[in-house]
Amino acid sequence: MSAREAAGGTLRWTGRAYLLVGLGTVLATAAVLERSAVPLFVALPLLLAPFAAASFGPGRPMTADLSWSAGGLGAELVVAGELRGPMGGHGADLLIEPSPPPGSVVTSPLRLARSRDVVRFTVGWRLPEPTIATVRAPHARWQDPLGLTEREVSGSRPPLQVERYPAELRRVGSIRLDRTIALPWDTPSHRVGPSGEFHGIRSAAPDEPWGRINWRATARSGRLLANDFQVELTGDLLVVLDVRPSSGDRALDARLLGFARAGVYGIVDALFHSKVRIGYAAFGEFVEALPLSTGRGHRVRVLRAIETSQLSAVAGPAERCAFSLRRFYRPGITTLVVSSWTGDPSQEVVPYLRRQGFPPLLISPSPLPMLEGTGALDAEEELLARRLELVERRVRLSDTWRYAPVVDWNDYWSLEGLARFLRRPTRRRVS
Amino acid sequence: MSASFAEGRRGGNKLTFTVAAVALGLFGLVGGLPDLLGPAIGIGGLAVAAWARRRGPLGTEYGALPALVGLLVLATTAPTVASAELFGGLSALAVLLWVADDPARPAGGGRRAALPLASCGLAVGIAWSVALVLPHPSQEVGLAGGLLASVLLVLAYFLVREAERRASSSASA
Repeated sequence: MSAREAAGGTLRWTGRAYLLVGLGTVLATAAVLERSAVPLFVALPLLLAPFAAASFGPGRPMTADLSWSAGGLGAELVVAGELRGPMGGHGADLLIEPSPPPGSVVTSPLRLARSRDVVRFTVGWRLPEPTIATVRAPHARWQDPLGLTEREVSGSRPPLQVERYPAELRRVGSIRLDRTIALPWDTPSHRVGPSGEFHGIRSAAPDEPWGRINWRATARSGRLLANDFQVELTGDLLVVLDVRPSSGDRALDARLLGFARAGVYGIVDALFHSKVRIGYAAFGEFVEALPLSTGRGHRVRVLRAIETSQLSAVAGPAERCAFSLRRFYRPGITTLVVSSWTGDPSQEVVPYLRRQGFPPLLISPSPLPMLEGTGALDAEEELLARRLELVERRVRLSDTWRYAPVVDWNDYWSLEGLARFLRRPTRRRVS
Repeated sequence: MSASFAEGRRGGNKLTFTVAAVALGLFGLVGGLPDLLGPAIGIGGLAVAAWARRRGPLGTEYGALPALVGLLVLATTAPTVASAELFGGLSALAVLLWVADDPARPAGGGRRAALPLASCGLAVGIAWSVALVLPHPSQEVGLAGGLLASVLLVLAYFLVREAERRASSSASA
């Protein structure tokens, strides 16, 4: 989306100009009352300066187009960009005020490199947790060197989309999901390639990897033979994001949902690259679902749906989620539930999903690192309280283990537990 | 801390501070306050202002207030003599020069503000030199000349604004 400000900014006085003119007026009045010329001599530059500053500024509205991008890894977000346009040599007095993403901390202050018609800027922030956010374009204005008059700089100001999620999720796409449900309208692919279902044997190429050589067939025939595989979907995945408010503290719920959304975004983005067929459902008061599919168009639809998922006003009953999903999806699909539900344990969606035939895997973002002490306890008691909260959470999650594997997501910048589980789904307990 | 403040330098240019301090000190010496009270008020106000304008965005915007108040005190207590008039005008210009050298802004603010400051200085120069040269009954002519220069500058400003308004309205049409 490109936002263009409709009109260039008009010239306006700053607070400092009003200060000078006010003081100049007081001095002029004092000169008249005292019948002394000295205050008038002092007042003269103060009264004139705002007009002089405006006269030597840019004589028409300024326009400059913004192009910018986000860099950095993990929690570090480095934004670099440039404002380019005819500035008439006034680029040195251009002020840029970036809008930081919510909750972020400045790690690298704004740095500007100015030339005649181009101003380049760089600023760094540290994000508190995984985030999908739209960073608003920086505010740009010209201000004269005395700081008495200013003018908005208009032009193209595209917002910047920032996605930050745990780094392990980038590797999730290489994990092969076993469970593929044949849908009535599915047409199996007959393309062959290096991975997928076994298709047949062929002569090995000179640079064939050793791992693909079929040694038994090679021994029988006396020449190098390699395996061929049918390239097809590697599995189905239904991702369910729980957007119900749970704890009573709506701000905390919104924060938890914010980084849960970022995690889901990362998982889905990675799995789409490995041809996994993905369905997405958000459960608030009701279920909003996108069907199982793959491809670029579906990827955009799903990612857009994840970005726009918001905390619902009312929490729907957990069984409604499971029953509704049956209307959209066939049972048996691997179901990844991302839920930070901390309310009534009987409202956990996982047992209901299991009963309706969806094998679930729960990722539970932990609210504990976000909770701060009330200050009523001393350090030792605070530590004890935290341990008790942790124990209570572990007990609650252990109940859920009866129905599904659980990934306790308490280090917000790591989902190693999920990646480990997906690599060895039956052997490892996830912590 | 605003981003534009973070962009700036930690301190201002010491040269502009010195120029403003010397001008205010001289204005205080020729003023009507006893002994060193005048220079103390002038330089003290400037020092407080220099401290205040490093205190974040609000200080950057209004930090010059203590220096201007010091200037006001010195101006209202000064006797009507040519030297006080000269140093009064110069002090105001020097304070403006120091204001232009804002630590929250890129270096060289004083240099970039040379043209606006020169036009203000011209008005003060005309007023003072005419007041000095002409005999006592005609000193008002000097002030009138300074005020005339000021009015011309204001007029030029409004003419520029009008031309700009016409250009933007024709562009939008």
